[in-house]
Amino acid sequence: MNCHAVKDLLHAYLDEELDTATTGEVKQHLRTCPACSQAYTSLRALQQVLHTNNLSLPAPASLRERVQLAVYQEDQVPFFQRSVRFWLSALVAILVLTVLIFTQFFASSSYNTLTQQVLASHIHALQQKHLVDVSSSDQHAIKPWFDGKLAYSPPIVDLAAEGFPLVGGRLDYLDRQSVATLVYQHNQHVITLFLWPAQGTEGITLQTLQGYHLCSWTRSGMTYWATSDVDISQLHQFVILLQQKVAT
Amino acid sequence: MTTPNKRAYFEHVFLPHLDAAYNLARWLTRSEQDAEDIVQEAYLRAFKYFDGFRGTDSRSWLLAIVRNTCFTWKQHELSRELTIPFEEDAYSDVGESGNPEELLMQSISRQELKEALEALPTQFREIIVLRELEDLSYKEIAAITHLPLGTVMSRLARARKRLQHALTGQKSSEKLAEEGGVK
Repeated sequence: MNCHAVKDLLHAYLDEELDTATTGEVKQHLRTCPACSQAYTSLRALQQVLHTNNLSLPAPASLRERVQLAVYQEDQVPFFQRSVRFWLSALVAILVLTVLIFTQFFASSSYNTLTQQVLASHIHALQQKHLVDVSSSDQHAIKPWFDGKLAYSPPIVDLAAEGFPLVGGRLDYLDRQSVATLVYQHNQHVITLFLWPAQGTEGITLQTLQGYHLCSWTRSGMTYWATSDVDISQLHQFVILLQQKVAT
Repeated sequence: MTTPNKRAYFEHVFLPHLDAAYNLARWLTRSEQDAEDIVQEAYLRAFKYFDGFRGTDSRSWLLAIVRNTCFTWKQHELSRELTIPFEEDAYSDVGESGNPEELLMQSISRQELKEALEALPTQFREIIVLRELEDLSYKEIAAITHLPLGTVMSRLARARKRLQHALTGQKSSEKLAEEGGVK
Protein backbone atom coordinates (compact mmCIF):
# COMPACT_ATOMS: atom_id res chain seq x y z
CA MET A 1 0.00 0.00 0.00
CA ASN A 2 1.46 3.36 -0.95
CA CYS A 3 1.35 6.69 0.86
CA HIS A 4 -1.32 8.12 -1.38
CA ALA A 5 -3.72 5.31 -0.60
CA VAL A 6 -2.94 5.43 3.11
CA LYS A 7 -3.51 9.17 3.23
CA ASP A 8 -7.09 8.65 2.08
CA LEU A 9 -7.68 5.91 4.62
CA LEU A 10 -6.07 7.61 7.58
CA HIS A 11 -9.27 9.11 8.97
CA ALA A 12 -11.22 5.88 8.67
CA TYR A 13 -8.29 4.08 10.27
CA LEU A 14 -8.34 6.50 13.17
CA ASP A 15 -12.11 6.11 13.58
CA GLU A 16 -11.88 2.31 13.37
CA GLU A 17 -14.16 2.19 10.37
CA LEU A 18 -11.95 -0.06 8.26
CA ASP A 19 -12.26 -3.82 7.91
CA THR A 20 -9.67 -6.02 9.57
CA ALA A 21 -7.62 -6.66 6.45
CA THR A 22 -7.31 -3.02 5.45
CA THR A 23 -6.61 -1.99 9.05
CA GLY A 24 -3.69 -4.40 9.07
CA GLU A 25 -2.33 -3.01 5.84
CA VAL A 26 -2.47 0.57 7.04
CA LYS A 27 -0.88 -0.36 10.34
CA GLN A 28 1.92 -2.10 8.49
CA HIS A 29 2.52 0.95 6.31
CA LEU A 30 2.57 3.32 9.28
CA ARG A 31 5.31 1.26 10.91
CA THR A 32 7.60 1.81 7.98
CA CYS A 33 6.61 5.27 6.74
CA PRO A 34 7.56 8.26 8.92
CA ALA A 35 5.62 10.82 6.89
CA CYS A 36 2.34 8.96 7.13
CA SER A 37 3.04 8.09 10.72
CA GLN A 38 3.48 11.76 11.49
CA ALA A 39 0.23 12.64 9.79
CA TYR A 40 -1.55 9.97 11.77
CA THR A 41 -0.09 11.17 15.04
CA SER A 42 -1.30 14.70 14.33
CA LEU A 43 -4.79 13.44 13.64
CA ARG A 44 -4.84 11.40 16.79
CA ALA A 45 -3.64 14.37 18.80
CA LEU A 46 -6.51 16.44 17.47
CA GLN A 47 -8.96 13.74 18.37
CA GLN A 48 -7.55 13.40 21.86
CA VAL A 49 -7.66 17.10 22.54
CA LEU A 50 -11.29 17.15 21.48
CA HIS A 51 -12.07 14.22 23.77
CA THR A 52 -10.20 15.38 26.83
CA ASN A 53 -11.60 18.86 26.95
CA ASN A 54 -15.15 17.87 27.81
CA LEU A 55 -16.65 19.84 25.04
CA SER A 56 -19.86 17.87 25.24
CA LEU A 57 -22.32 20.15 26.90
CA PRO A 58 -24.93 18.42 29.05
CA ALA A 59 -28.47 19.64 28.95
CA PRO A 60 -29.49 21.96 31.77
CA ALA A 61 -31.59 20.25 34.44
CA SER A 62 -34.66 22.34 33.65
CA LEU A 63 -34.68 21.27 30.02
CA ARG A 64 -35.67 17.72 30.82
CA GLU A 65 -38.71 18.89 32.71
CA ARG A 66 -39.50 21.41 30.00
CA VAL A 67 -39.47 18.69 27.34
CA GLN A 68 -41.59 16.37 29.47
CA LEU A 69 -44.14 19.11 30.08
CA ALA A 70 -44.29 19.98 26.39
CA VAL A 71 -44.84 16.36 25.40
CA TYR A 72 -47.51 16.01 28.07
CA GLN A 73 -49.35 19.06 26.75
CA GLU A 74 -49.08 17.80 23.20
CA ASP A 75 -50.54 14.54 24.36
CA GLN A 76 -53.59 16.28 25.80
CA VAL A 77 -54.55 18.71 23.06
CA PRO A 78 -54.49 16.38 20.08
CA PHE A 79 -56.85 14.06 21.91
CA PHE A 80 -59.37 16.83 22.26
CA GLN A 81 -58.89 17.89 18.65
CA ARG A 82 -59.23 14.34 17.52
CA SER A 83 -62.36 14.03 19.62
CA VAL A 84 -63.90 17.11 18.05
CA ARG A 85 -62.84 15.99 14.61
CA PHE A 86 -64.36 12.59 15.22
CA TRP A 87 -67.70 13.98 16.29
CA LEU A 88 -67.75 16.47 13.45
CA SER A 89 -67.18 13.80 10.85
CA ALA A 90 -69.71 11.57 12.58
CA LEU A 91 -72.24 14.41 12.42
CA VAL A 92 -71.55 14.95 8.72
CA ALA A 93 -71.98 11.25 8.09
CA ILE A 94 -75.33 11.24 9.91
CA LEU A 95 -76.50 14.27 7.93
CA VAL A 96 -75.50 12.73 4.63
CA LEU A 97 -77.21 9.50 5.57
CA THR A 98 -80.39 11.37 6.54
CA VAL A 99 -80.43 13.26 3.26
CA LEU A 100 -79.94 10.05 1.33
CA ILE A 101 -82.76 8.32 3.16
CA PHE A 102 -85.12 11.22 2.57
CA THR A 103 -84.31 11.53 -1.13
CA GLN A 104 -84.79 7.81 -1.51
CA PHE A 105 -88.12 8.09 0.28
CA PHE A 106 -89.35 10.89 -1.92
CA ALA A 107 -87.94 9.34 -5.04
CA SER A 108 -89.72 6.11 -4.33
CA SER A 109 -93.03 7.86 -3.82
CA SER A 110 -92.96 9.17 -7.36
CA TYR A 111 -91.44 6.25 -9.23
CA ASN A 112 -91.00 3.06 -7.35
CA THR A 113 -94.52 3.17 -6.06
CA LEU A 114 -95.73 3.55 -9.64
CA THR A 115 -93.95 0.32 -10.51
CA GLN A 116 -95.65 -1.28 -7.55
CA GLN A 117 -99.01 0.20 -8.57
CA VAL A 118 -98.67 -1.13 -12.10
CA LEU A 119 -97.79 -4.57 -10.87
CA ALA A 120 -100.52 -4.53 -8.25
CA SER A 121 -103.08 -3.64 -10.86
CA HIS A 122 -101.93 -6.47 -13.11
CA ILE A 123 -101.96 -9.07 -10.34
CA HIS A 124 -105.23 -7.87 -8.84
CA ALA A 125 -107.03 -8.21 -12.16
CA LEU A 126 -105.69 -11.76 -12.51
CA GLN A 127 -106.75 -12.63 -8.96
CA GLN A 128 -110.23 -11.25 -9.48
CA LYS A 129 -110.34 -12.96 -12.84
CA HIS A 130 -111.57 -9.64 -14.08
CA LEU A 131 -109.14 -8.63 -16.71
CA VAL A 132 -111.33 -6.51 -18.93
CA ASP A 133 -114.45 -4.34 -18.93
CA VAL A 134 -114.71 -4.47 -22.69
CA SER A 135 -113.91 -7.85 -24.19
CA SER A 136 -112.86 -8.00 -27.83
CA SER A 137 -109.96 -8.96 -29.97
CA ASP A 138 -110.83 -6.22 -32.37
CA GLN A 139 -109.16 -2.90 -31.71
CA HIS A 140 -111.95 -1.08 -33.50
CA ALA A 141 -114.42 -2.35 -30.97
CA ILE A 142 -112.36 -1.39 -27.97
CA LYS A 143 -111.37 2.10 -28.96
CA PRO A 144 -114.86 3.68 -28.88
CA TRP A 145 -115.39 2.16 -25.42
CA PHE A 146 -112.77 4.56 -24.02
CA ASP A 147 -114.60 7.60 -25.49
CA GLY A 148 -115.97 9.74 -22.75
CA LYS A 149 -114.13 7.83 -20.10
CA LEU A 150 -110.72 9.37 -20.69
CA ALA A 151 -109.39 12.73 -21.64
CA TYR A 152 -107.36 11.12 -24.40
CA SER A 153 -107.75 8.48 -27.05
CA PRO A 154 -105.33 5.62 -26.51
CA PRO A 155 -103.63 4.12 -29.54
CA ILE A 156 -104.69 0.47 -29.79
CA VAL A 157 -102.65 -1.98 -31.80
CA ASP A 158 -103.49 -5.42 -33.15
CA LEU A 159 -100.70 -7.94 -32.71
CA ALA A 160 -102.67 -11.16 -33.18
CA ALA A 161 -100.63 -12.14 -36.23
CA GLU A 162 -97.46 -11.87 -34.16
CA GLY A 163 -98.78 -14.05 -31.39
CA PHE A 164 -100.10 -11.38 -29.08
CA PRO A 165 -103.91 -11.26 -29.53
CA LEU A 166 -105.98 -8.60 -27.79
CA VAL A 167 -108.21 -9.72 -24.96
CA GLY A 168 -109.87 -6.42 -24.19
CA GLY A 169 -109.61 -3.20 -22.26
CA ARG A 170 -110.42 -1.57 -18.95
CA LEU A 171 -109.75 1.51 -16.90
CA ASP A 172 -107.27 1.74 -14.08
CA TYR A 173 -106.10 4.41 -11.71
CA LEU A 174 -102.36 4.96 -11.76
CA ASP A 175 -100.10 7.88 -10.88
CA ARG A 176 -103.12 9.85 -9.65
CA GLN A 177 -105.10 9.60 -12.89
CA SER A 178 -107.38 7.36 -14.88
CA VAL A 179 -105.47 5.39 -17.45
CA ALA A 180 -106.31 3.15 -20.39
CA THR A 181 -105.45 -0.49 -19.79
CA LEU A 182 -105.21 -3.00 -22.63
CA VAL A 183 -104.91 -6.68 -22.03
CA TYR A 184 -103.02 -8.90 -24.42
CA GLN A 185 -102.41 -12.59 -24.38
CA HIS A 186 -99.38 -14.63 -25.30
CA ASN A 187 -99.73 -18.38 -25.08
CA GLN A 188 -101.23 -18.84 -21.62
CA HIS A 189 -99.82 -15.62 -20.26
CA VAL A 190 -101.41 -12.24 -19.80
CA ILE A 191 -99.66 -9.03 -20.77
CA THR A 192 -101.18 -5.88 -19.37
CA LEU A 193 -100.43 -2.60 -21.12
CA PHE A 194 -101.10 0.72 -19.41
CA LEU A 195 -100.78 3.98 -21.26
CA TRP A 196 -101.43 7.60 -20.53
CA PRO A 197 -100.24 10.98 -21.79
CA ALA A 198 -97.00 12.16 -20.21
CA GLN A 199 -93.73 13.79 -21.05
CA GLY A 200 -90.57 12.00 -20.25
CA THR A 201 -87.22 10.86 -21.47
CA GLU A 202 -87.34 8.45 -24.33
CA GLY A 203 -85.81 5.08 -23.72
CA ILE A 204 -86.94 1.76 -22.39
CA THR A 205 -86.65 0.79 -18.74
CA LEU A 206 -86.80 -2.88 -17.80
CA GLN A 207 -87.45 -4.06 -14.27
CA THR A 208 -88.22 -7.28 -12.55
CA LEU A 209 -90.31 -7.30 -9.41
CA GLN A 210 -91.54 -10.37 -7.56
CA GLY A 211 -90.89 -12.46 -10.64
CA TYR A 212 -92.86 -10.23 -13.00
CA HIS A 213 -91.19 -8.20 -15.69
CA LEU A 214 -92.13 -4.60 -16.19
CA CYS A 215 -91.21 -2.53 -19.19
CA SER A 216 -91.83 1.18 -19.40
CA TRP A 217 -91.12 3.81 -22.00
CA THR A 218 -92.24 7.21 -23.18
CA ARG A 219 -92.71 8.11 -26.79
CA SER A 220 -94.56 10.85 -28.64
CA GLY A 221 -96.12 12.21 -25.51
CA MET A 222 -97.36 8.86 -24.16
CA THR A 223 -96.02 6.78 -21.32
CA TYR A 224 -96.44 3.03 -21.64
CA TRP A 225 -96.12 0.34 -19.03
CA ALA A 226 -96.23 -3.32 -20.01
CA THR A 227 -96.11 -6.07 -17.43
CA SER A 228 -96.31 -9.81 -17.59
CA ASP A 229 -94.86 -13.03 -16.27
CA VAL A 230 -93.69 -14.09 -19.75
CA ASP A 231 -89.99 -14.40 -20.49
CA ILE A 232 -88.33 -11.05 -20.61
CA SER A 233 -87.31 -11.64 -24.22
CA GLN A 234 -90.95 -12.20 -25.18
CA LEU A 235 -92.06 -9.09 -23.35
CA HIS A 236 -89.30 -7.15 -25.06
CA GLN A 237 -90.45 -8.50 -28.43
CA PHE A 238 -94.00 -7.44 -27.61
CA VAL A 239 -92.82 -3.96 -26.79
CA ILE A 240 -90.78 -3.64 -29.99
CA LEU A 241 -93.70 -4.81 -32.13
CA LEU A 242 -96.03 -2.45 -30.35
CA GLN A 243 -93.71 0.51 -30.81
CA GLN A 244 -93.40 -0.23 -34.51
CA LYS A 245 -97.11 -0.51 -35.02
CA VAL A 246 -97.96 2.57 -32.96
CA ALA A 247 -95.48 4.60 -34.95
CA THR A 248 -97.18 3.76 -38.23
CA MET B 1 -56.07 8.28 20.57
CA THR B 2 -52.83 8.49 22.48
CA THR B 3 -52.64 6.64 25.70
CA PRO B 4 -50.48 7.37 28.71
CA ASN B 5 -48.51 4.30 27.66
CA LYS B 6 -47.47 5.90 24.39
CA ARG B 7 -46.08 8.94 26.15
CA ALA B 8 -44.32 6.85 28.78
CA TYR B 9 -42.83 4.64 26.10
CA PHE B 10 -41.76 7.64 24.06
CA GLU B 11 -40.01 9.16 27.06
CA HIS B 12 -38.37 5.88 27.89
CA VAL B 13 -36.92 5.62 24.39
CA PHE B 14 -35.99 9.24 23.71
CA LEU B 15 -35.23 11.05 26.95
CA PRO B 16 -31.88 9.25 27.33
CA HIS B 17 -30.73 11.19 24.27
CA LEU B 18 -31.50 14.58 25.78
CA ASP B 19 -27.87 15.47 26.35
CA ALA B 20 -26.86 14.44 22.86
CA ALA B 21 -29.74 16.46 21.42
CA TYR B 22 -28.83 19.53 23.43
CA ASN B 23 -25.14 19.19 22.64
CA LEU B 24 -25.75 19.04 18.91
CA ALA B 25 -28.22 21.92 18.98
CA ARG B 26 -25.87 24.01 21.12
CA TRP B 27 -22.92 23.53 18.77
CA LEU B 28 -24.96 24.08 15.64
CA THR B 29 -26.60 27.27 16.81
CA ARG B 30 -23.84 28.42 19.18
CA SER B 31 -26.55 29.67 21.47
CA GLU B 32 -27.68 28.02 24.66
CA GLN B 33 -31.12 29.63 24.56
CA ASP B 34 -31.76 28.59 21.00
CA ALA B 35 -30.52 25.10 21.79
CA GLU B 36 -33.10 24.71 24.56
CA ASP B 37 -35.95 25.91 22.35
CA ILE B 38 -34.81 23.68 19.52
CA VAL B 39 -34.54 20.60 21.71
CA GLN B 40 -38.08 21.14 23.00
CA GLU B 41 -39.38 21.60 19.46
CA ALA B 42 -37.45 18.57 18.23
CA TYR B 43 -38.90 16.37 20.95
CA LEU B 44 -42.41 17.56 20.10
CA ARG B 45 -41.90 16.67 16.47
CA ALA B 46 -40.43 13.33 17.44
CA PHE B 47 -43.50 12.67 19.57
CA LYS B 48 -45.84 13.64 16.75
CA TYR B 49 -44.09 11.39 14.26
CA PHE B 50 -43.40 8.67 16.78
CA ASP B 51 -45.99 6.38 15.19
CA GLY B 52 -43.97 6.42 12.01
CA PHE B 53 -40.72 5.45 13.72
CA ARG B 54 -39.99 1.87 12.83
CA GLY B 55 -36.24 1.81 13.16
CA THR B 56 -34.04 0.64 15.93
CA ASP B 57 -31.67 3.60 16.19
CA SER B 58 -33.67 6.11 18.17
CA ARG B 59 -30.69 8.38 18.81
CA SER B 60 -29.91 8.88 15.11
CA TRP B 61 -33.59 9.41 14.36
CA LEU B 62 -33.89 12.05 17.07
CA LEU B 63 -30.62 13.78 16.16
CA ALA B 64 -31.74 14.04 12.54
CA ILE B 65 -34.86 15.84 13.77
CA VAL B 66 -32.76 18.08 16.02
CA ARG B 67 -30.51 18.92 13.08
CA ASN B 68 -33.46 19.72 10.80
CA THR B 69 -35.02 21.88 13.50
CA CYS B 70 -31.77 23.80 13.83
CA PHE B 71 -31.64 24.53 10.15
CA THR B 72 -35.24 25.68 9.89
CA TRP B 73 -34.93 27.68 13.11
CA LYS B 74 -32.21 30.03 12.06
CA GLN B 75 -32.16 29.43 8.35
CA HIS B 76 -31.38 33.01 7.69
CA GLU B 77 -28.31 33.20 9.83
CA LEU B 78 -26.91 29.83 8.91
CA SER B 79 -27.20 30.32 5.17
CA ARG B 80 -25.31 33.56 5.45
CA GLU B 81 -22.48 31.74 7.12
CA LEU B 82 -22.18 28.99 4.57
CA THR B 83 -21.30 31.40 1.79
CA ILE B 84 -17.94 32.33 3.36
CA PRO B 85 -15.27 30.87 1.09
CA PHE B 86 -12.15 29.09 2.22
CA GLU B 87 -9.12 28.38 0.08
CA GLU B 88 -8.32 24.92 1.22
CA ASP B 89 -5.78 24.14 -1.41
CA ALA B 90 -3.58 26.90 -0.11
CA TYR B 91 -2.98 24.87 3.02
CA SER B 92 -0.56 22.00 2.90
CA ASP B 93 -1.23 18.87 4.84
CA VAL B 94 -0.43 19.28 8.47
CA GLY B 95 2.02 16.71 9.68
CA GLU B 96 4.28 16.61 6.73
CA SER B 97 6.26 19.61 7.76
CA GLY B 98 7.58 17.75 10.75
CA ASN B 99 6.39 20.15 13.46
CA PRO B 100 5.58 18.45 16.72
CA GLU B 101 1.86 19.17 16.42
CA GLU B 102 0.95 16.85 19.18
CA LEU B 103 2.81 18.93 21.70
CA LEU B 104 1.14 22.05 20.43
CA MET B 105 -2.22 20.33 20.59
CA GLN B 106 -1.81 19.36 24.20
CA SER B 107 -1.12 22.92 25.23
CA ILE B 108 -4.33 24.21 23.75
CA SER B 109 -6.83 25.43 26.30
CA ARG B 110 -10.46 24.45 26.38
CA GLN B 111 -11.45 28.00 25.56
CA GLU B 112 -9.25 28.12 22.47
CA LEU B 113 -10.65 24.80 21.35
CA LYS B 114 -14.22 25.94 21.92
CA GLU B 115 -13.64 29.10 19.94
CA ALA B 116 -11.93 27.26 17.10
CA LEU B 117 -14.81 24.82 16.87
CA GLU B 118 -17.40 27.57 16.97
CA ALA B 119 -15.53 29.40 14.23
CA LEU B 120 -15.79 26.47 11.86
CA PRO B 121 -18.43 26.71 9.13
CA THR B 122 -21.59 24.83 10.13
CA GLN B 123 -21.20 21.79 7.92
CA PHE B 124 -17.73 21.12 9.28
CA ARG B 125 -18.64 21.94 12.84
CA GLU B 126 -21.56 19.54 12.88
CA ILE B 127 -19.52 16.67 11.54
CA ILE B 128 -16.82 17.17 14.18
CA VAL B 129 -19.51 17.29 16.87
CA LEU B 130 -21.19 14.13 15.63
CA ARG B 131 -17.95 12.20 15.23
CA GLU B 132 -15.76 13.41 18.07
CA LEU B 133 -18.21 14.61 20.67
CA GLU B 134 -21.08 12.20 20.11
CA ASP B 135 -18.92 9.27 19.00
CA LEU B 136 -21.23 8.33 16.17
CA SER B 137 -20.19 5.99 13.39
CA TYR B 138 -19.88 7.13 9.79
CA LYS B 139 -23.06 5.20 9.04
CA GLU B 140 -24.99 6.93 11.82
CA ILE B 141 -23.70 10.33 10.73
CA ALA B 142 -24.78 9.58 7.18
CA ALA B 143 -28.25 8.67 8.45
CA ILE B 144 -28.59 11.82 10.53
CA THR B 145 -27.27 14.25 7.92
CA HIS B 146 -28.78 12.48 4.93
CA LEU B 147 -25.38 12.62 3.24
CA PRO B 148 -23.76 9.81 1.30
CA LEU B 149 -21.10 7.89 3.19
CA GLY B 150 -18.36 9.19 0.89
CA THR B 151 -19.37 12.79 1.57
CA VAL B 152 -19.34 12.14 5.30
CA MET B 153 -15.78 10.88 5.09
CA SER B 154 -14.44 13.63 2.88
CA ARG B 155 -16.21 16.32 4.88
CA LEU B 156 -14.78 14.92 8.11
CA ALA B 157 -11.27 14.94 6.64
CA ARG B 158 -11.65 18.55 5.56
CA ALA B 159 -13.15 19.53 8.90
CA ARG B 160 -10.25 18.04 10.80
CA LYS B 161 -7.75 19.74 8.51
CA ARG B 162 -9.41 23.10 9.08
CA LEU B 163 -9.50 22.61 12.81
CA GLN B 164 -5.86 21.61 12.88
CA HIS B 165 -4.86 24.68 10.91
CA ALA B 166 -7.01 26.88 13.12
CA LEU B 167 -5.35 25.52 16.26
CA THR B 168 -1.77 24.89 15.22
CA GLY B 169 -1.47 27.89 12.97
CA GLN B 170 -2.43 30.04 15.91
CA LYS B 171 -0.03 28.23 18.17
CA SER B 172 2.81 28.40 15.69
CA SER B 173 2.55 32.16 15.39
CA GLU B 174 2.32 32.48 19.17
CA LYS B 175 5.41 30.38 19.66
CA LEU B 176 7.33 32.43 17.15
CA ALA B 177 6.30 35.60 18.89
CA GLU B 178 7.39 34.12 22.24
CA GLU B 179 10.76 33.09 20.91
CA GLY B 180 11.13 36.45 19.38
CA GLY B 181 10.42 38.03 22.77
CA VAL B 182 12.95 35.94 24.66
CA LYS B 183 15.70 36.86 22.30
